[in-house]
Amino acid sequence: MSTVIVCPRCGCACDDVEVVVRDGRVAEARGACEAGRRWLLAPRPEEEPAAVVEGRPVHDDEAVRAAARLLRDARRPLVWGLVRTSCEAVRPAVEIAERLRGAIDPAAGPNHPDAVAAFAEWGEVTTTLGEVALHRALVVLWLADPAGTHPRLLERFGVAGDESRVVRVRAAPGGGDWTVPPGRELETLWLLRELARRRMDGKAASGPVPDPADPSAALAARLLDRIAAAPYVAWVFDAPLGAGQQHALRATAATLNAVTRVRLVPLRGGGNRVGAEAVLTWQTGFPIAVDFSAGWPRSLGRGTGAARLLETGAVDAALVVGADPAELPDEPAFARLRDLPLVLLDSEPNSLDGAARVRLRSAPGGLASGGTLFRMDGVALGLRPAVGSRYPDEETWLRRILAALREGRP
Amino acid sequence: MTERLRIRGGAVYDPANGVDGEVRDVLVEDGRIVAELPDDAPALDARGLVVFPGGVDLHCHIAGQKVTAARRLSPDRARAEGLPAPELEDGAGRAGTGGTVPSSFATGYLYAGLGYTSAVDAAIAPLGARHAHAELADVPILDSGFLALLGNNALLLSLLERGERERFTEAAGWIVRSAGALGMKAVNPGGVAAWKAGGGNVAGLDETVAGTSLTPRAIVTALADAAAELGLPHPLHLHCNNLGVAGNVETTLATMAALEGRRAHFAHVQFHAYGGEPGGLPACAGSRVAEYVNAHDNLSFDVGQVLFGPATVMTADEPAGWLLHRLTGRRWVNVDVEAETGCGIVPFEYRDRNRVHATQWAAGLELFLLARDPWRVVLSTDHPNGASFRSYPRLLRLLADRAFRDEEIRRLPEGALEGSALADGLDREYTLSEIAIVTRAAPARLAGLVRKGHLGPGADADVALYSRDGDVERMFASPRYVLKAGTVVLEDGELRRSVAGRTLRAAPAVDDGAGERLRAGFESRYSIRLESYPVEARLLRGEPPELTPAPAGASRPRPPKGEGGDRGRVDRRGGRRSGA
Repeated sequence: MSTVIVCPRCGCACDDVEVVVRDGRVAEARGACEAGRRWLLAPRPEEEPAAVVEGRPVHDDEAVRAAARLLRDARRPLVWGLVRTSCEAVRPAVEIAERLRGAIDPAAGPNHPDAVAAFAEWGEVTTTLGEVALHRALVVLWLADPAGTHPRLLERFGVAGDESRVVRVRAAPGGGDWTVPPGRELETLWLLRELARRRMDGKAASGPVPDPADPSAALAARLLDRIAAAPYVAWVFDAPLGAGQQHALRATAATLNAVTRVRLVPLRGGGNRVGAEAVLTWQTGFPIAVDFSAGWPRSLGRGTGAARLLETGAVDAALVVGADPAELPDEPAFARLRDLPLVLLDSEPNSLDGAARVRLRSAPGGLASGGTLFRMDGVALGLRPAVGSRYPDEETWLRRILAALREGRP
Repeated sequence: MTERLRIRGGAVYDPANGVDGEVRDVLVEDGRIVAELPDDAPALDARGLVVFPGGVDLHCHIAGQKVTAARRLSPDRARAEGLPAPELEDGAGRAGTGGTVPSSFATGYLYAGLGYTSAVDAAIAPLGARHAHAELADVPILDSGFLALLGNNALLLSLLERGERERFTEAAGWIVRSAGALGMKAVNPGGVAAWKAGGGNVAGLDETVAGTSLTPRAIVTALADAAAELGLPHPLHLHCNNLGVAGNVETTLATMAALEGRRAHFAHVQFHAYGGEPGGLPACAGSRVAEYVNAHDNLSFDVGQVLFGPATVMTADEPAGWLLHRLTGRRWVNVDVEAETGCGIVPFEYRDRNRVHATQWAAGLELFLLARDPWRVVLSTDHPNGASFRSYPRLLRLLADRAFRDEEIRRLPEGALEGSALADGLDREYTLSEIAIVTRAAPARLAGLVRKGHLGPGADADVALYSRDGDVERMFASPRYVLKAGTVVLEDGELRRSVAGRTLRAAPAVDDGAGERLRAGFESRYSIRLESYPVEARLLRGEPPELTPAPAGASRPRPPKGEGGDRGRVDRRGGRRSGA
């Protein structure tokens, strides 16, 4: 039996992967990239009990009660993760945080709050993936190579194997004409914006005239010529850029629209990271780091983010859903999760397994459970499970915990 | 269990049923209005109150990709207005944030807090339909739906260019059905496609759209015909070319003339009612649009009133968003949606000392005050573009209280009213019955929502009760009671209960093979497979609404006062719906 699924492995969320199931297990994953195939074909023996409390296998009901008790006893619990979590399961996660006047933060790398802040400062010009191929766009890879993280992205852009429509800007030597002088990435972006403004207005904008002999200015000028000659440009960058570049990219891309259509493509996603932020945004007004301690949602970005709350001891229990700190860049604050009373709900083996007082196992989203997932570009897709699982899905677990919390309200 | 309620002794304003302030009982059973109830049914004392049907917003932006992006763009506004959870009986109230784009739970509560119980988001890209449905499910109390953006759809435009009109209509129907939409919308037809392709905007009805032989005229007439042929109860909902530009009234009137003999609804027509020279200052030309509509009963419009204060410009008209960004130099979101449309978002503020903003304010009021047939006028601020929906009570006072209006007019900068009928003063004051029409009965009828906007037997028991007050703003800002589908959600001015809303959608009958016939064209343009496009049935909430049957073989509007016999349940659920 085969099912065409939506692969949740990276932000491309390819919806054309055909999974062949034999004896209840995935035997083939046709059309998947190597990373997707590895994940889809990984053995999932499901030998672990669905629910473990204090190291002891227990009935689901008992585990749900224990999880609710642990969270209710906290002064201010943290709900963290939501990487592998469908939009449907994010809803009860937010409600749990709100009901307990806790905090909720989707797991992300340490620079992500800078990207969120840059969006609020400048906005963002962007596109869904398909428009790039439709316009036979020029693809600028800004210090990024999607081959490792988003293997089929260039195929989707219609430029796989066609380097004539790809500009690879590299920081390291070896980038040829498109090498950024070391340490001058940020300056190059602002110079590009300055040059675009001059071309657009036909007169001197603010600031000194860029010196054409300067390697940074020369690169900016070459980029502008190349961009101006294209009808449409997809500017791909990787999420971990620092605050300066996050701001400069958004400002520059907006300005470049006086020359041609330039669209940013941040390499995001994997699982339902983008969807989790979307649900949080529509329910609370904020995409990350939402604190309910006042009785309504507040967010100060990094200031109310999980790392800061853990570092300062502001939270005293945690519910980790569908994420593993070991999958993120090293962040010492996350080590503190191990010291807190912890409920862990995940479909994958997790570095917090040994530390969790309550460990709940869920069916892997996208493979064995359905729901809605957002692709990196914000396009929502319906997941189509291909196999069964003896574990409940995340939404079911979270709704049961929520129901137990409601019953226990004073 | 049978839930009954006798709303006793209120002054009822139910213009769809010819009731104008008569004191009578309104009877509720199992979520619907009924003709009779036993004498011992529980009663709600409405003596001294006025009783309206629940409000229906036919043109707002409350969900989907652009609304979520607008929130990300303005965390400062959300931070400035934290909203604690309402104290509901079941303890299940949810907190949120306000600002010009309130969070989803807050949106439902705030609308209900004004007596509104239904709302239609006027611009959703079909590719974003799944997101919109998921978000609308988190807007409590309101029955809600959306219009699907079709005016720049590459697949449709290519069928039209090839002259394949039947396939064009079939494809439009398949898209509306796949998206779970209530109707069709066109935004700057052709202009967005041209702009995305690197060209400029299209500036006139007969200008060719870059890279094609099509004109906006060809697109709007084909879509208006398609809506009629598919039997959609709401006609084409049209945002004309040249939004917000001085002199655009000529384009608007030309578009209206192009649609002669066809039904069409013109969106936020205030933004399309400016005289003056292109590139110069806009002048008030609302009177010209009102005159034209007065003489053509195939047309209706919502106003898109501007009110002074913070707003968020949020539009599928990408080139308009770009222009505004260039003008203000402010933060700007632009999202291209493959093969379909896009969106532009710019936070904004209208100031009464700004001459252009004052002209926009006046153009809207002219439209309201000069339109003779309220049944073809819908109250809107194009939330959050002209102002937040939370300003509706203030707008109602401007319409119903001439002294207040004249006071406001005196504050405007010199020259703002040049050429405006308002400059000489307009006597008209909206009556309560007219208010009930433009906020309830007309939008419901224009959307084809048979059970909304009135209080006759069979209607959904969506009811708003207000205390009569000389200050119309205060009156409509704080209803005493609001019922949604028979549940008293707001009691003594406080939100006490919340119910889930239903999805307002029309599922036009299309041939089973329609999707398959589109496959090649679809998959060469989209980055998803055809199968991933139709929204899953589980995302559509509740039974489909009862809709007006399409007038046979014609696209003329129904007469305003017709009642009874021609209303009936239409089952348009034939055809295939692909699910998960």
